[in-house]
Amino acid sequence: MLARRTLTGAAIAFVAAAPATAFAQGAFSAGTTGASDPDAGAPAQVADSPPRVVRFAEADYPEAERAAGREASVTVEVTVTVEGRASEVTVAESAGEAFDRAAVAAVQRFEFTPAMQGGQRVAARIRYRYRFRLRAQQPAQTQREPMAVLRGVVRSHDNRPLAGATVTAQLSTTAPLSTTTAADGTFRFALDAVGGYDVAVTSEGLRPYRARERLYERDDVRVVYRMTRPTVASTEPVARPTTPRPTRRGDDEEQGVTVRGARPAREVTRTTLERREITRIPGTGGDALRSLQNLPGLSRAPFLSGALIVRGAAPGDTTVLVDGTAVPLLYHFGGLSSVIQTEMLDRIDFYPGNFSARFGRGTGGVVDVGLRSPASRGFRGVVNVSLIDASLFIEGAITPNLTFAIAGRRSYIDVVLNAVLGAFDSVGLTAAPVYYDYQGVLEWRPHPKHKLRLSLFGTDDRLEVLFRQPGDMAPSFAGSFGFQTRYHIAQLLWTHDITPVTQGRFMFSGGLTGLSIAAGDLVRFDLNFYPQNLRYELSHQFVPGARLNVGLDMVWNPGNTRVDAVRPEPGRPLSSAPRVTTEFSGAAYLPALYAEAELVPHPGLRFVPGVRLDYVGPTRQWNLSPRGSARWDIDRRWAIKGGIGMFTQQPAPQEYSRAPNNAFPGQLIGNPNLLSQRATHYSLGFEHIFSPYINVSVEGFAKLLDNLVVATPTTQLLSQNPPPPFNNNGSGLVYGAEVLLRHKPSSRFFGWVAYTLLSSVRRDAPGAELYPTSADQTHILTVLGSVRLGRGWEVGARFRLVTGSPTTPVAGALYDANGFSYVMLNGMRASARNPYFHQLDLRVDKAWTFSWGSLSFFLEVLNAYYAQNQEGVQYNYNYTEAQPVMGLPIFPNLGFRAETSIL
Amino acid sequence: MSAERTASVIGPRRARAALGLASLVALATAGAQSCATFTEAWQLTDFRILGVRAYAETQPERNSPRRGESAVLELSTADVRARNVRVAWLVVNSASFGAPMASGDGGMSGGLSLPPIFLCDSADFALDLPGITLRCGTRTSFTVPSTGGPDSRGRESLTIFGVACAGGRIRVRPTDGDASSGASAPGVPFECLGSDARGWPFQYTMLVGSATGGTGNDNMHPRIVGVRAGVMGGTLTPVTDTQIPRIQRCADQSTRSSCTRLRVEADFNDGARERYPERDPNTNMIVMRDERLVTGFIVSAGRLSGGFRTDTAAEPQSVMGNDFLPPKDPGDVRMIIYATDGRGGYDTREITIRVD
Repeated sequence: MLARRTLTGAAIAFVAAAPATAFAQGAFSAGTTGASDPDAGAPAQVADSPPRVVRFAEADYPEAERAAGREASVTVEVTVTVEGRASEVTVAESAGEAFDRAAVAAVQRFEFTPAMQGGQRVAARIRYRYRFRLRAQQPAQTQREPMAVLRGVVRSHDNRPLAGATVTAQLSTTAPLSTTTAADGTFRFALDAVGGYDVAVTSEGLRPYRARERLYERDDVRVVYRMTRPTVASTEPVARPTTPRPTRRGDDEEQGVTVRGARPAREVTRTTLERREITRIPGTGGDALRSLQNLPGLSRAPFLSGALIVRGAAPGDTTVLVDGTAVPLLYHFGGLSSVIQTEMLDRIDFYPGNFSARFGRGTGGVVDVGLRSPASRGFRGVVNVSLIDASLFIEGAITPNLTFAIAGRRSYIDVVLNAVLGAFDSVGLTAAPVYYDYQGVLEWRPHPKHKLRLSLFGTDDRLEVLFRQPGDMAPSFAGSFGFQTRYHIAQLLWTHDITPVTQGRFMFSGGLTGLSIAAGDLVRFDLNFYPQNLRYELSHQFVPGARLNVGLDMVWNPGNTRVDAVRPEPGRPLSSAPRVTTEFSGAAYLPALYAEAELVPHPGLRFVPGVRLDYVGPTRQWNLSPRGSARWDIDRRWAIKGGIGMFTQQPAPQEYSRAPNNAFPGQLIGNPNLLSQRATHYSLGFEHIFSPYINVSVEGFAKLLDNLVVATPTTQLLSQNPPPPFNNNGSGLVYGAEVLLRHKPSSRFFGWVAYTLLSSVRRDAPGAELYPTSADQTHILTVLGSVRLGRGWEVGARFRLVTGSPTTPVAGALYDANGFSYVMLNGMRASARNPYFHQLDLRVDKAWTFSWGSLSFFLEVLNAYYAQNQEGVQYNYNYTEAQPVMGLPIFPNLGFRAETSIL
Repeated sequence: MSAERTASVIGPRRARAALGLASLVALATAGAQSCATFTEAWQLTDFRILGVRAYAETQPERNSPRRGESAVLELSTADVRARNVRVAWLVVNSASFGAPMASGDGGMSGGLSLPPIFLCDSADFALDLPGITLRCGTRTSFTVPSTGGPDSRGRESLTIFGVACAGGRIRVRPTDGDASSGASAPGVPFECLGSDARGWPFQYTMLVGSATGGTGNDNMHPRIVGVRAGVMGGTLTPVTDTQIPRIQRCADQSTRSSCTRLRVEADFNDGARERYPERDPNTNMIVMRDERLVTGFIVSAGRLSGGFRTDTAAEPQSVMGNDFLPPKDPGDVRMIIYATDGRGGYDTREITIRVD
């Protein structure tokens, strides 16, 4: 799980996590003269817990250095006695005699908690960095490296920062922590224990506020608590999660900042993109899931395909999950919109490779989407309308412990296209593409340690086209064409804290996924599956720095497929060929067990070894997949990360089906002896933090693919002793590098540069020639940025430059005198490429805040300078004339978003 | 959620109208960008092949010559410039060579290797090798050889491929040769050479009738027994050599032209759509099926509303007609109608339309 990229409903997390030490640095940089920057290093002997500073002593800033305006850091080595005192302080990294002397003198006055080993205090020798900074004088304070941080802002009912409010946080097993908000309403808890904290905020004249925050090791959770006026009827304080609320000016820094969803920090890397980023990226229409397409590692999908191509993998090799349940698609027809509304999202975890053992059945990447918990007080509604579709979102609390959220969306492309395509009725074409999706969540918290959630989500995309007359290229081909993809899933989630350090997560889902394709009189394809998925995961923290997650992941997938198609025969046009109906049904049983450890043997060093055991029922095969990743935060600016792992993917149902193939009597549809496809992922990279806002992540990767399923050529199936219709002879190699240089959101700007260098090649048989796959896009560059202009205005731009995808040229044609059509003769496979793709997208936002809520408007212009991007080549009826198929022209999209709340 | 409901969310009527208009403009722009301007299949602009008529020499209506019979092959072509057409035919048994060719994967030659010599300068050229028959001329004949046995579907057939070359010479293509004048393509063993030449490679599968002479497997050619024409909405009258349909020229050649169009319909013989037995691959039972006609239309000037008409499941007896938009210049226009029954049967008819 080297490069998990998390996107939360409030925010999208993306690059790699800022190490916990960076949080401490932020706290220290509040401005103390000669402030220290403790960075406890490894004790001389291995201890269960290292020494920690409990009493900090401020050094005397050398006057000569102060006068010269010099700052410095001195690293000392100090022995911490069993009594917690400092002794044998020596300089490890000098900054000059004056600084060294002052640092040593200060550290000698420190007091520590002694190191512990086997429950006994032991002496330890550690490294400590003392930083001298020229800042305004403030009293030095005792600092400790926390296990987690909870901080935020308390605002009054009218949205102003609230000073002097009392904030308490209590873990059930520890004494309550308490603090008072500063003048700017901020507060901060440095926590030495993790788990579910009950937070209470009180301020005179305002209604008490309660919330429950779950924190895991190394979490840095930021919250905004908004107090309300007391009502006559209400005497019981209630909890309400913070929700993004625009400020009066509409461009305040707090806009879009909300509760950071605390997640188990299993991944060795994690960084967060904030809500502002995911909703303001030009070209995405404010769709959080579409913002994924701007991340490194993602190839550009062909125009209107909506495919997710991760690190050169075929779209079907990447698994898309909603809270652990696999769904067949992420984007609606044409990739214009995602299947889950942004308002419903809690997070989007994107793993381009080396993902956790809790994920399986895929050799590409993983996109794991989480639905959010509804607001626990009041009601909130959001309406989004654009040129493409419209959506509605409502959430609210039936009781403080029973909450709901519903959302629905429908496109109206059908209305528009029917009007536009009316102009083409002379060629007999009518169309009605339409999609809709819905999500519903009912959440019940019967106890602070238990959360039950019932979710329903589904989508339906369909397109119907009627060709009243045969086409020039297929004279025997006429009729109605269409496809429909759909899924409807119900899911039950139960998360519970068994102990403060042991959590369980249960999930069961069931539903329908279906696909129908109709191509005139030639083909009718109907596929229906009724997948049921059961997951249970137990997570236990044995000691600080050692957590084990074990889980069960079972899939039972009954389904049926019916193919009614003409059987192509030499010498017969398709309209005269016999129709063959093939039906097969069955159930795929796919159980799996996994175990994964999260080990932090040393501050800054993290290992995540794991193993997964999959059983593929239809092929009766066991797959053992060991995986591991590691991360080392060398210091506060540099980190290295790497991973290696094995990943398997079972063949598709038609590839292993044992049903007889009516088109080829005596043969089966599939090959039940197929092996699972296998990939070995390697990755290695580093991260560097240039400043609090700017960081870079660089990662190289390679994937070795083998056992790839390859279809046997039809000509061989017609032979007297035909081989099986599918084999495992394919292999491939994907390698490349990803770079993300990012400017995190500041009060004015956010943006990033994402670059991917990629090679993706395959061969269909041992010794056969390698050919580039359609995902082989050598250079993928995305540059984007967004600037706040004030008064609610924000402008942004995105530029993309991508190597064209490989294509197979047409070398000629042959006239089929039986069918009156021309047969295309291919040239060398994937021996040509489309030209470079480049496109500039622009976006303007304007937000207003009213007493009833907020309103925002956006205008996007895709392909602003009208780049003529070639997506393919189309030919005339006999392949003597060719014209490039161009992608999107200038495409304006506009819409608005209205939000209101009732508390 | 219905579209109406969605619209009600949008709000005022003016906003809805603006939304619709903007969508329309955006999508129309997208649609306009992707519209290609190609030569249509119904336009006769150069040399092209229409079809192959194969029949037993003793029974020209029968499309399925039997093993040992003399079979005739006729290539039907159309050319705007009436160039001399040379044709090379290579007849192979499908079991050995047919599959690579039928797959369209460039393996048309099926491993056949011939020296790079010129062929078919004379229509009398003939070469018979075991399993391979080479002939020349737009019309030729050969004795039906062994097919190598029935294929996996129980049919016996011969695969015929070759090249038709208008205004040029035919050469056996060198294995490492470069493409020349249009008839060269990967895997195609012949090429058409000549500065003013235009050639097309082609393939045709000829069903071989039962050696026992039974009629069950025989297929008869469909026949275009007449063509009727008349202005659209009016009465259609038969077209003959003396009864040439006339129509006024039209300056507006767009698809939305308001000019008067000529309706042309081809009439087929009663048995054109034969009923034939075939083994149903689903039930393995012998069932009776009806042939489905595919009819093509080509004109030398003007416009047609599509190049083809075909029988479908919904309309198994489709009217094989087309609407002709006359060109802007007066003169005679050639219209060629050609049809197949889907089992190798073929017929064609050419008429003249006078544009005033």
